[in-house]
Amino acid sequence: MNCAKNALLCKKSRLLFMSEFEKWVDLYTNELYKRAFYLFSNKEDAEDLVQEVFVAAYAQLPKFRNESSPLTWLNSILRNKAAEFYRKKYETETKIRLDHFFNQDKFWKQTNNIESWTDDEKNLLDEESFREYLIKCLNELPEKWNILVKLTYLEQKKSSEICQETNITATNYWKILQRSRLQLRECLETNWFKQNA
Amino acid sequence: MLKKILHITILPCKTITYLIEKRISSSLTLREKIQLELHLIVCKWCAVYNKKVNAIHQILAKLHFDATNKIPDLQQSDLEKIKSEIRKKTEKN
Repeated sequence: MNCAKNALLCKKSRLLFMSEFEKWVDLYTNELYKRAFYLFSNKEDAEDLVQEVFVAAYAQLPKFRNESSPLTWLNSILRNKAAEFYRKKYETETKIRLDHFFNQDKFWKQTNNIESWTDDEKNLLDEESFREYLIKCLNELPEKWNILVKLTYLEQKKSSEICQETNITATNYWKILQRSRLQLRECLETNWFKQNA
Repeated sequence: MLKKILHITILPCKTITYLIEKRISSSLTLREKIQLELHLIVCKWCAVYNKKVNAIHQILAKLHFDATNKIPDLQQSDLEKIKSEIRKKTEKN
């Protein structure tokens, strides 16, 4: 803010700006916290993330354009900060093993699960219990994978962006998705579909 | 036996499950595309897996609204704590 020219106007706009920011904190803290908790499945990390989001938003406020809603803008900062958190926490690359699913010939170990889930997969979307199991299965994945899967789907970003933000190679990213998806399928098959069969 | 030969000529299932992910989140080379399509025609296990992956993919894309809604609200005391932390951290600037 350029305060040299008109000190009074400057003070006024600063007050306006502060009260606007305070309003955002009041309005959106809970919502952002829920998003953060969804990503990290952990209260402390989620609370820290929300604080970081607002501190960053405060610093970047001059960049905020009214074209997007404040919440949309804050959500994008949250995603960014979450990726940063992920990058720092999981710097080391771990080897992804698939021998639970494939034999030495790289063929499926389990060959009895060839029935389709439904005639039309679109029906699964409306199936409340399916969605519940999917969330449950997602949270059963190791944290390193489930955060990445959630980040991927949170705002439909391109994989190149996710890789850049989290600093993992594209190959490793697809391997993590592959491993996660194999496990999700298995988890859903043993839980949801067995019960509904 | 035939199964084995096929898997050697048009990529093993393990690789196919990787290509399925690559196709969803990015794109395949022409060669990969052809290998994947051919494999899916001859291998019923991968074909059904592919269908299930696509279902999971579509549902995950819509899931987080549901998932975040189910998370309990912040308790008032925690909310106040976070707010005062934010105030502290932003007032310094």
